[in-house]
Amino acid sequence: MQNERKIINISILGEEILEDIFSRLILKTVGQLNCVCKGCKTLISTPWFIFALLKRFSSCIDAHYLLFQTRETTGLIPIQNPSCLIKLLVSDYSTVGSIKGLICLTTTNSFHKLICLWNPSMNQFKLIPINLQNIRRKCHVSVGFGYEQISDDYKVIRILN
Amino acid sequence: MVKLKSNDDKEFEVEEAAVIQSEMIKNMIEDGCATSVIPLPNIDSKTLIKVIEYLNKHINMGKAAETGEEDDLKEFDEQFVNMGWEELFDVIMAANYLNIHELMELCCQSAADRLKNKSVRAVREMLKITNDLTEEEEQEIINDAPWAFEGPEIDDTVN
Repeated sequence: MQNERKIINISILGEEILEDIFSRLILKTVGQLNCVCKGCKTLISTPWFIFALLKRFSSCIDAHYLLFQTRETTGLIPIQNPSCLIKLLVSDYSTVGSIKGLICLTTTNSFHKLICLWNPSMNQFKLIPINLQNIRRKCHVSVGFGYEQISDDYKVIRILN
Repeated sequence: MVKLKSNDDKEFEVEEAAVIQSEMIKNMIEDGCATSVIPLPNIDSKTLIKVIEYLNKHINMGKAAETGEEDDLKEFDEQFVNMGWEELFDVIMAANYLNIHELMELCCQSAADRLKNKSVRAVREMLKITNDLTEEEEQEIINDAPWAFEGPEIDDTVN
């Protein structure tokens, strides 16, 4: 997630108005905005924008929802067009947590615990790169997911035991 | 009555009850800065007439609910946003400048409805955005999220 807030004159409408209009668009058109110009891509990647988009989806009566569960929490995330959601490669995922519509998942391949971020509203999926060189022997891995206000960004914490 | 002046030097008289739907003018009146004509250097007369039409119709929003005029207001709103894209663009900028929340909601929703399913090229043209991506960069984005660029409903017209 990028956290740049300053966008220089994309359109004479100004950043605030564009954000307002964009947050009312359907997901498919939002997806295309990435390709309109660099500023648009930055604008729709801010946590603020994604939050605004989610808020509108949530108040939409015919929205579809994604149910997620962790040991501590259960939540609903509104989504559009469930049919075009990304197909996750492995079926064996567990949820670490979810903040503002972003879900942190873990899955295990034969040796390692992989961490991914999934944004079902924006239909984006990202594998978090992990430096595997430091891991020489078997250990227990705990993962935490949070939002840090000062840098206005999401943080994933991995603890090796 | 409050006098407003457009950037092409035309003056309009508006009832205070109507004009205070604009947060900006409401603040000016409260601060005692609205004794004479209020100049609006960002708004031309054509747009200002549209905005005043809206303000006059929405003068007693609260009352509409009591008297059952909600449907009438809804119909007016639907008719109101039935304007050309350029005109809508101007009204949005005026509503933003004057800080008229309800009018912003109405017009931004209409703008979004029109941008729905438009092609990248059409969106650029409608929002007057210059493309600063190279062809390679564009292709990369399309490859990343092909679902957004597929489907028969993508509309390449600008209106």
